[in-house]
Amino acid sequence: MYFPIADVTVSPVLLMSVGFLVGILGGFFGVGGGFLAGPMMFWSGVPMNFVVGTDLAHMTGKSLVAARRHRALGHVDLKLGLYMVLGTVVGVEIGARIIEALQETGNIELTVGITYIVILVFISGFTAWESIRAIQMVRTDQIDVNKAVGFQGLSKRIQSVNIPPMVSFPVSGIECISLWMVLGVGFVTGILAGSLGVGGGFIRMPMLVYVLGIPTHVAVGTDLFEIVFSSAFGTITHAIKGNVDILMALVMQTGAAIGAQIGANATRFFAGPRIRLAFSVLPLIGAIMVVIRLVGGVMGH
Amino acid sequence: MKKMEPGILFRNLLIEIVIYSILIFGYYLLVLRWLDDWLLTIFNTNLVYYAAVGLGMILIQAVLLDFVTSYLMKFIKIDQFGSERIRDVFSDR
Repeated sequence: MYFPIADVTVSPVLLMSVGFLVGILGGFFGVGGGFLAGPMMFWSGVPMNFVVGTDLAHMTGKSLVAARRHRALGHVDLKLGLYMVLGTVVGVEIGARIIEALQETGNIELTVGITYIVILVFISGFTAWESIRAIQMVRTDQIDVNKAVGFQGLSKRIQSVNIPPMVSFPVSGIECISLWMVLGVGFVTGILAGSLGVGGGFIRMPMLVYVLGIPTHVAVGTDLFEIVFSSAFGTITHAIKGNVDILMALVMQTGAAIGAQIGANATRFFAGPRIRLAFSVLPLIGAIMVVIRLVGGVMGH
Repeated sequence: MKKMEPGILFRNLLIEIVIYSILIFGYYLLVLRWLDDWLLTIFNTNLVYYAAVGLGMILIQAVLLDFVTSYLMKFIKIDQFGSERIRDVFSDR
């Protein structure tokens, strides 16, 4: 199928399949799936600036479907999600401007690619280490599997920071935390979302768990709720800059919608540490795909 | 509530995906493939309008697809699946 806006021909079945795959992963892990969909689109020949914007557009619809399902399961902290949106929208705008500046210098592919790889490998390694530690804690200390987190030092420190205004999140089991910490997490993930063309979920979900101390299932659902807003904002900013092929996003979304429903429902069958351990593999796959693309580009030249 | 065996769940999921694929194929033939000229025109004339229309289309399609997939999920009775039994298999105790 020819997409005249991006000026590229891509199979709609391939796009729907990519949407379906990242829909399942997104619904299950609470991520937008940009770290996988992005390289796959890039690899199939879609120009990088359209990869970023179009992926955000398809992510908006898919996350809406998954967030609605997680809300029905009681996995969404609306108050936390809305506060994080405030920090995220500022970060997304700054990230989008970074992409524009890089386009002008002509270094966009290499810079975005290397940044992707470094962040993804770090997240993968850290999450794998923590979740294995949490599973061992459950086995040796016999603690509740849903409360087991192998790295709690940071979240305890963050929750003890006393910078007003202080807020509580009963759905997430947090009695008191500084609003600035919540906004800060949203801001950092917003910059990544805008500049790397991802919803930011692949870093926000671990940050919600490890930095703010949110239970894994609630982190997954709240992350998706937040991605709806952050990716919608990113879609608007990128579309105005001419970086979105809406038709391509609509085609991808048809596969993503059912994948997101299946993924969200599947979270009912797994405990937190298992979800995080499985999650740790995803960023690594994304990093490998970016390496393949970059090496291919170098060889091509 | 009667619980569903894993084999039956996967069979029903497969049925759901097949039915959904047929619906989406029809949607693609009747709607999506006719949008390219119209979207290209507004893309070339007014990017702000294009952005607003694009986001609107994404959200409307998401709600419609959510309705369809939710209906199909009820149709295959996924909620009757024995979640507690499977949770025991995948959890750590």
